[in-house]
Amino acid sequence: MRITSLAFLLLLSISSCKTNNGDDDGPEPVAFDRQAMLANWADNLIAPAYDDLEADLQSLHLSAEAYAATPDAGTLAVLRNDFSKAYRSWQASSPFVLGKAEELRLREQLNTYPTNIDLIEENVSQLNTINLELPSQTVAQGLPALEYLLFGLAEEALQSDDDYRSYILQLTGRMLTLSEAVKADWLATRDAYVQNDGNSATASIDRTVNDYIFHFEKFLRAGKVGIPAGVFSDDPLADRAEGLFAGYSKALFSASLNSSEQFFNGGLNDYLDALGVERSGELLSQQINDQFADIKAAANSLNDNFSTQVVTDNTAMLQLYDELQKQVVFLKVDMLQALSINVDYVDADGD
Amino acid sequence: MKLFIYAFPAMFLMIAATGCDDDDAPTPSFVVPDTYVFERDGASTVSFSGQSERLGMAQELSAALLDFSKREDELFNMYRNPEGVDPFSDASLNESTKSISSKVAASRDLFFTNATAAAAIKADFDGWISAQVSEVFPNENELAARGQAGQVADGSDVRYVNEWGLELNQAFSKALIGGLMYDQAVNNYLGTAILDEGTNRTENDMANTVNGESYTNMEHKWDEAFGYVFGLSANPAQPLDDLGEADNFLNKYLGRVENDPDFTGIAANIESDFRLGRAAIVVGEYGERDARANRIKEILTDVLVIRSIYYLKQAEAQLRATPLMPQAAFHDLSEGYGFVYSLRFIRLTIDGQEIDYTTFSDNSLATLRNADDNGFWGLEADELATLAEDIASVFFINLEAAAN
Repeated sequence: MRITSLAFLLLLSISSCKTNNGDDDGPEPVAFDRQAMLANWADNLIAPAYDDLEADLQSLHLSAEAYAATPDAGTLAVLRNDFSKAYRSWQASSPFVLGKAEELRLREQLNTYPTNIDLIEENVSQLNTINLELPSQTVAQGLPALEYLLFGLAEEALQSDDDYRSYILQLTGRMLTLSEAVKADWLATRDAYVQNDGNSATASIDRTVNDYIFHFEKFLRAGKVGIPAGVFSDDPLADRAEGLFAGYSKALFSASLNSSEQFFNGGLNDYLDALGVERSGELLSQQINDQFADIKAAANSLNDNFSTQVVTDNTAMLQLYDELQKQVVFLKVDMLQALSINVDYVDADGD
Repeated sequence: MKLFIYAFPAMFLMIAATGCDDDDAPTPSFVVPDTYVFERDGASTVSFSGQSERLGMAQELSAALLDFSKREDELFNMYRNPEGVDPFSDASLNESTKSISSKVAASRDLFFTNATAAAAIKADFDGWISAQVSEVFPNENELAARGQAGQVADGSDVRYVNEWGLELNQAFSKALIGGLMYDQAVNNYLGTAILDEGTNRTENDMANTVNGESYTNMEHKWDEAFGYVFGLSANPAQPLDDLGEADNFLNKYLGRVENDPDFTGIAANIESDFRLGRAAIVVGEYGERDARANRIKEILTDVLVIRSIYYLKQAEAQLRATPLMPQAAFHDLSEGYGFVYSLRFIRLTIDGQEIDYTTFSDNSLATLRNADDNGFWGLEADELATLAEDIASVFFINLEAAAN
């Protein structure tokens, strides 16, 4: 009797030794090069995005200077064009607000909307006293503030008052400075980022994936679509759409969505496949990519200006929201579970 | 005649009351309305206007603490509502004779024989108002830093902190939840010292109403407790309809805790406890009344404790984030600070002994104040973790459940 139970115990203890010998809370060990994925992210997705952003903000600042020096239809057209380019570049960078970008609150400083028109006007009237570093000034700077000045303000006002043009220069200069700091820091910390390929919550993969999903959920799904469509309020909020003055909300949305899709297919898809992750008999990576296609289809017929869309046919916006929401579930629930990553942010419930 | 009518249900309840489980409040056998509607001779007997007014004043004052154009005397006028002054934008509040200040640290159970403690607490509230004006207002357009009051960023929001990182307006507002709403409801109006004061029982048994009103004194006292939780509800007869949105005080945080799946159900419980307790008063069923009062007190106490833990754990998570941006935690820390201050209004009876948590609250606040190392600027995540654990264990709340 004793011998049998001893043997049983022994069997048990042997079998229990065969558990995964990787990190305690990592996914099943599998043949997948996490470091290579990190390197791909760092070198082929993040660095180029920051490069483009810096280059476009540079051009933007130069054309703002040209416009300030010679305000006419020609220089204004160039400025507006460069603004559009920069805004779309920003969309490509927005999913990767890590490290220095987080510290400097790059996303908040570059793209908090709706912009505060009253504060902008106040700033323009007292140019010498403003400090754009103050958190209270977040809502009067960045791309949305520029958008108001370039597309929301009457052209004659812009043309006639050189204080507006000075303020534009302050805004473009500041954005350029911030993006330069972020890019420089990124290049300096790139190796540390790639080598930090462990499973802990502070390691690169965990943080990057969390930031990616946070961006998808809060800024893409809610910020660009849900909030204007009134999902979180009693009625649609047309004044909360991105790009409402320039009238290209859809282009900004698409740029951001494409960057999200590209990032997913820059390694996470392969990782999920290597782990053999399936849902209902189909590869999760395929379902996620199919969902990206569904999202694009839902966005296709929308008005270029979401501010107009929510007023003329909000149902179409809500349908887009639903498709985005399905993807949030795939990413935040299915994918994170498969990768053994914990969500590191809480949906703020306000005060 | 009226006594006779009430004798029947009382008898039913006596029968039903035997063999009841302490924890399980049984469905009583007297008449309980489906909504918080009570009438006598066709007139409503429910009244808590004083509470609604104070809640309204507190809402305005809370907002005014962030109005940099306000002077100190204007803020104190909203707090004290002296004669001959109209400090509020809501005309009905200006007509009111009530004030917030007169009911801060003023409960029968805690402060009737402790004017000293009450004075110290009132001085804290006064201090927060003054400091907001003298320390934070002048630094409206400064960037906060160690030793420097001013702005900190919280996502795209701005927070205004004092020189060691505390948002004084948050400390004030969250401490007010303990010192006014909770203290008055739990330690005053739901206590037997007030409910059974003087001849309240006899008057209530005989359904003798207060002069000129349709309610008995006891009915009114109970409603006043109700008023501190649901006083600004759009439809107080069905107060759960706008739970969490009626005000920024007990109602709001009761709603928040209800939304935590670990605690869902407390809202329905507290609503039915208020309603059943009130119905028990109407039929003179005082045992049931007190059983319900105790359950309400437990629930409201839990709200204070759970939110204290919640904000500390949220702040702890921020302090463990990479990159470390301590200012990101200041808003959670400030709210936590106010809730931890509120813990001093709790009294639990353990093994027959009533425990006073003032010292516990003060010590916890000292940890948060972190005077040796620039207050919130120098706080460490582990210190917050330990503090949250202590609060959870002292008040018998599950740490994991409260943390998120």
